[in-house]
Amino acid sequence: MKRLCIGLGSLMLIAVDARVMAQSTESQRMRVETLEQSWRAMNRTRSRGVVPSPRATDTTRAGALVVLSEPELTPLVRYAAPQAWQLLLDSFGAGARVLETIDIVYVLQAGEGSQPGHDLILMQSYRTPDTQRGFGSGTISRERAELGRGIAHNVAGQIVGAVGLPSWMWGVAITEPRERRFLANAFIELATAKDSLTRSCAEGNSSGCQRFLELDQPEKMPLSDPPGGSSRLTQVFRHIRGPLLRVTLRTGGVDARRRLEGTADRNLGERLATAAGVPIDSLMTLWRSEVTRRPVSSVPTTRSVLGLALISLIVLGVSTRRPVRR
Amino acid sequence: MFGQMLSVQWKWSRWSVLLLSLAVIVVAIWSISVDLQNSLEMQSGLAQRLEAANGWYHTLVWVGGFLLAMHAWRTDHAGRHVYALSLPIPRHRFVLYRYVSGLLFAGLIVLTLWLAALVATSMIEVPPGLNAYPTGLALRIGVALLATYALFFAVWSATPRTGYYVAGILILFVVVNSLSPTPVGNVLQSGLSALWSGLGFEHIMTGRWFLIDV
Amino acid sequence: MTSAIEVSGLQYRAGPGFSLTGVSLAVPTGSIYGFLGPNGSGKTTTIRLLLGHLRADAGTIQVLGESVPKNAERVLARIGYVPERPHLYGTLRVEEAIQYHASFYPTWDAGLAAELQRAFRLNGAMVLSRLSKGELGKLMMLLALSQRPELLVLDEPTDGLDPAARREVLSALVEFVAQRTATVFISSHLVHELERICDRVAILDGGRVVSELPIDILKSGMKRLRVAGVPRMLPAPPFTILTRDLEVAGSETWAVQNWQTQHAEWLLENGITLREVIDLDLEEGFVALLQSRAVLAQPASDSSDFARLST
Repeated sequence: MKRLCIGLGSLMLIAVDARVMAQSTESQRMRVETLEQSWRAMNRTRSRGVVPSPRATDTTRAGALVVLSEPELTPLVRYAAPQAWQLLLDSFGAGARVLETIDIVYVLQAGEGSQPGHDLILMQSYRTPDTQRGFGSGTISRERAELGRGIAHNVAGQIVGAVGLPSWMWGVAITEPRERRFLANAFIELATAKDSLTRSCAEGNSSGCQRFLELDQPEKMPLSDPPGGSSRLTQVFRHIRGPLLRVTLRTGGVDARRRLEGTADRNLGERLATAAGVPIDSLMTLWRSEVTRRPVSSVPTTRSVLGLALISLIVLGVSTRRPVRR
Repeated sequence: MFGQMLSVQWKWSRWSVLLLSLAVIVVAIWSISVDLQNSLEMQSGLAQRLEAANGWYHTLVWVGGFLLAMHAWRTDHAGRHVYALSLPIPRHRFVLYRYVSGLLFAGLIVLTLWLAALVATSMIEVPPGLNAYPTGLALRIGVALLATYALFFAVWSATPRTGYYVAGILILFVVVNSLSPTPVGNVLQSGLSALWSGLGFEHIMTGRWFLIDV
Repeated sequence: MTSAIEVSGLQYRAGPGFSLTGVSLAVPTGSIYGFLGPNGSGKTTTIRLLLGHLRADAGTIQVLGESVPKNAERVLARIGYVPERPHLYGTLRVEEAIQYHASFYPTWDAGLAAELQRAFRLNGAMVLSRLSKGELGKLMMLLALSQRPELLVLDEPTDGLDPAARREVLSALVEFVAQRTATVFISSHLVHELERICDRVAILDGGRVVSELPIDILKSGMKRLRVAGVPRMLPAPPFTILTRDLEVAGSETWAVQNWQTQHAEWLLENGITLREVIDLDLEEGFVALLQSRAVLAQPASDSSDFARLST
């Protein structure tokens, strides 16, 4: 009994340990080699030399995120990976662990960036249980402050793709803070749209929102012209869906994806509500709150005012001119 | 003493204050002057107008700060500060009076904006789901205007040597930003970013200056 | 306090080629002190140092018993200053400029200001930038006098003014001085003007004070001598020869300083015939003094023994 407890306890410790662990094992090297071969076989090079580096064998694990890297980049990755994972948790909650349901490996290595400082490439190779293997790559900034965000942005795309609503999502998934501003603008468009049903969504009408988001039908590509819309509203149409998926995953947790797959024959609204584990009206409320979360405080913060006071003192000191010279 | 200094500085600044006040009134009213009532002929585009007005407010804040500071110092500059230095007033107090006078004029512009925003938002029905922020907008723009005024006040009042210091800091900032990530570059950049956001300027100068918002 | 202004060992370097060197002077309280010098001699620079606009490299400055520039603001409240170039705000009207200036001086005499405005015929509604040079000069004097200052510092106050305006300004100044015990420090290169009003003068040349005397002593000792029979090797005289001009038939004309009547005996003892003694006014003496300094500043040459002057 004692040994069983110790064994289970050890397993639990290993399972819940979300801290960064670095290891360089033969299995990882083999995995990278497999990726490289697959990559070459699929001829998925975007440009010359963009293949997984055989030297990318250091593993960094942060939550469900696994990143292989060349040894010289490993310190950077160990710094950025936990930040990226935290950003994903903030966006998707426990639903971010959907990464664990797909066989995905990220490789971070040096490349040739077109912008100064953007010379890292994050490549991924993944396979979901019901799809073919997929590949992707993107350049991200080497700056420490930006690397975590860059990784999170790339990974978010995979999470959205893993959920499996590519047509409805139009392939858009944004996690950056800039989105807040865009969503606020989008909501203003919603609230002042020509169509009364669209406007009713802004007022909090759940049915209106479901219709606006086309949740009352099976998953499909959206209309090219949303009801009463313009090209402006089309953009709103696209990007305002991302928060719904995030809210669904955040509310539904790691099983959200599985539950979504189990309702393939239903309307999208029912599917998402089931995935989230809440009624559709509640899901609409959560979505609306997500969209209308204010991007920036409407009033200056105390820090701003104090900063201004400090600057004023400095200004007065600087402005006290010494006597004139000839 | 302060009264006379204020009066003289008002004489120099009044046309700029008047024009800037008119400009903020026009921008505030224009930004929300879409037909929100007529559901059939609704001109969706409020977000665009608000975005455009956001840009105009930024322009007015920078132009306003520049003009107010220029008016505070231009005449003294022309006379090489001989008159000011001949008066029986400590230099720091003279500078303080000039600064405060400009602040009052900036406050006047912000007050005008606030009143215009109040009137404008009271004359429309804000769409459900959205909110009007006349006070918040006026406060944010007010703080930003004070910040740009302070910056230009220091520049306009400076001796050439101080001007070189300010230019040097700006050049350093540009160089640091363009440095490829190095330990030194990262530290400098972190320091400057901390200063920028730590003093609240990032919050002041970025963000949304929308009269109607979520 | 016996001196309204005391300067000792003043050193100031304004740039390559110009510096004030060892300037020392004492302006007695209640006097009208003339500060003479050619253009570029450092008069305005000295005044700026007195007012605390500039910081000296060495030396001490005491104005009205206060150290400058340390206590400059306190001192400026008791000084009426008329600068070389008007420094008022050109966009103001006359009335506004007066009110603005008055607000800084608790001792402001509004009645005197009004009286002077009438006397100078200054239109209160006129914008300063539209005033003539003379009107601006009168306004500057009005502002300085209406403060009821203990010390008036005037830097070329009548420069560029027409004779009528000049007369008005000087009259107001003289009347002011007559009515109250104020010290006047007036700098000018218009020597004949200062001659009429000053008690004491200092002459500045090339950043140095070359002479500082009561004006009557300065003037009384300045003569033009017509002499003859000057020996080749002239011994050092008991007076100062400023200039020597050769005339026909061995005669010379000397401009001299510190001349006294008994010095005629010295001339006789040295075989020099004194033909005529002519009084020099301050301007002629000032010019001669400057000329002598210019000669002394030149390097000596064999043919110019005659031109080398004793001091």
